[in-house]
Amino acid sequence: MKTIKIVLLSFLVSIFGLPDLTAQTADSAKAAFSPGIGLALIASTNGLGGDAVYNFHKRMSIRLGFETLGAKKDFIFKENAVTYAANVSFKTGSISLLFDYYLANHIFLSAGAGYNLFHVEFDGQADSYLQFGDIQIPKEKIGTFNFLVDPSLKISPYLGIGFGRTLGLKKKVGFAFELGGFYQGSPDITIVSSGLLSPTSNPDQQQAEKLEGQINQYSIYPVVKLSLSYKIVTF
Amino acid sequence: MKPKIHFRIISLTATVLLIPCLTGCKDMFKDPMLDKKTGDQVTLLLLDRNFIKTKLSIRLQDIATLNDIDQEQVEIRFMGDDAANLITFTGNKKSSFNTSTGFVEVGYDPNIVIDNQNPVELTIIAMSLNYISAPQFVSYTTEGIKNVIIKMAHKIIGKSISSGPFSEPFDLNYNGIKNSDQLRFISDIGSSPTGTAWDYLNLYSTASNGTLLCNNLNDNIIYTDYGAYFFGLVSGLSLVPPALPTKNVGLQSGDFVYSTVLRSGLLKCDQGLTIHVERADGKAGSGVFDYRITFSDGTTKSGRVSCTFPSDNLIEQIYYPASNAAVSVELFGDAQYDMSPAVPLSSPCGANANFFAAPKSNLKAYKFITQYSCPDSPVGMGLSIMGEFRKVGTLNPWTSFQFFEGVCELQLEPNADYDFRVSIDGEYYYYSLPTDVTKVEDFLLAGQNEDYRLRSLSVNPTDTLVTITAEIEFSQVVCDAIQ
Repeated sequence: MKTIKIVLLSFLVSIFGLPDLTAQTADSAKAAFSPGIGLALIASTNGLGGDAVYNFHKRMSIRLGFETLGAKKDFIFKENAVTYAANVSFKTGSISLLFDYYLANHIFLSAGAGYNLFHVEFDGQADSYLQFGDIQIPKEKIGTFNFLVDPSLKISPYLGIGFGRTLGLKKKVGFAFELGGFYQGSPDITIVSSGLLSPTSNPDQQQAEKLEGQINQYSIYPVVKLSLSYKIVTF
Repeated sequence: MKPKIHFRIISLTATVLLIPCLTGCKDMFKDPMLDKKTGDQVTLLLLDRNFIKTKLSIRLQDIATLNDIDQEQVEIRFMGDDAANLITFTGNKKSSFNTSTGFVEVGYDPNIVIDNQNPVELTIIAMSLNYISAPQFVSYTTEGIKNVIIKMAHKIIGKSISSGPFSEPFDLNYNGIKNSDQLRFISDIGSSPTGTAWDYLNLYSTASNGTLLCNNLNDNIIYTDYGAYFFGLVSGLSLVPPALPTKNVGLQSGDFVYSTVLRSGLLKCDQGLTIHVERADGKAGSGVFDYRITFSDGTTKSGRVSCTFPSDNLIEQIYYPASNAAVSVELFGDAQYDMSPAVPLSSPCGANANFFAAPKSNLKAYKFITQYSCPDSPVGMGLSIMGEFRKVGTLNPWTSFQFFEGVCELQLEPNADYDFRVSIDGEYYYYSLPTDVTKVEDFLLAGQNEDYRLRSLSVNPTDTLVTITAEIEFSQVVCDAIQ
């Protein structure tokens, strides 16, 4: 309860203080600013990519960006006397449109939304036969499994705070460090399975719903981002 | 002014970061593979350990009373090349099975292909101290649960054949004597199918070594052929369907003789007849239902089908009168369902007889969703297994049902207590359950023992359906035994 009060208090202080802040700094900013368009290289927890940045006001810019990252890992595990060959592939990224508001020359807030490319796939199949009394159940009959994890909000709102400039203010080159997160909602899980593993995807077993309950805390995809920009055009 | 500005910036920043972090980052660093409520390992995969897709579900009945033979040890012996492919519940190959419950499920090696070109062909005979059956031939071209009723005759040696004709349409001579007193009548076995076009008539036992001779068919219009099968418990000699019966054979004392005839004008229906069963409302359910096919000449073929709705059941080995192929197909309800009326068909061959099952009006639907797992294993089990139930304290017939991938829906009387049983390798395992939703949880929790514990249990009653979901963890000892 105390934490919530502190948060609310700081929020109110920030909001009511905002007009003051802009009034105090507006005059000095006007003189040095000229709008520009540039490109930025991005390295973030959401992937590698780039932004097109339009800095139309000293305190405001918009960014259209694309970033993506993928990883894949093969592994095996053994359960109930069966060896399974499994694979996890992870993909993240977004096509995003963000609005930046500079609270000061080198501190900014970003808000916007992105088409979320987050996707995790966990699949596999039995890699060994199963000895069942006098007979062997071939691995093909044991079957396959495929788990797909996707964000429930494909269009995910984004909020972040950054330090530096997403496009240089006076110089051609700009550098920014940003912390934020995409709100992607509680992840959705889809399961497809076959053979003797088919109960895994039997809707009555509600296995997907149970696993969704286990990962519903991952509703925010955290973003730590570094960007290096170059101003191409100045108006 | 600068410190004030910085304070506001920092406040706003803190707000922006704290709100999502406090709300969204909760549990972010907890292991998602550990259950949030119980801390147990989460079951990721569910395996149906029932590897056997084709099962012969064999029920033993007294041919005279039609009661189950569940009071004595019975050996069920399989003959034919495919007998080498039969397995127990635990996958061990056997061609002979024992039961004292009147019921046994026999598996068929799942690695053997079953289709039109590779049918399963077996001849089954059941025997015990007091009973013997007629050998019954079965042939299947599809996978699935095949219900077989074996009718057994009480081995009370009756009158000799010399004291009566016993409806034989031909002469039975033993050691050259027509209707010899060394050929003892046991039972009329006309209701036991041979599994071929032939019909059984009577069962005899020999009282001495000798030679059996069949001749002088007295009605060659109704019948085109005749003869006898035999089975020697002591001699070990036998002649059983689908082989043709003999007319002349040497037998030993104590051998069993089965007189048989081939009726005229019968055709075999190679394509079989499909009995399709579903619920009119499309909902789930399962049951084992008796069927009867009545042919145009008044003869019948009956049996049982195991259904998980919707279900198609191919009935094979149908022989029908060539003069008129029309049949009437009946499917009989059980303690859960009423069945739609008989279906008339112009021919059984390749035809579908469609039936709709309707839950009985005084019952309520109970859906059981079960998962079984072992300690610290991400792979659980959702079993497909047959079971039976009946109300506690009654002598009603047991009603069959089937778990499919760990799920079954039953129509039960609310606020009653039921006994359930499953048969594994000829032995029944019993458990009970109340249908009063306020008692289910306490009852199941109280039933936990060193062999299993409930990982989770939920009971969700609605007006029309009670869903009981249980995750059961076996002890390591039980898991080691299963694996």
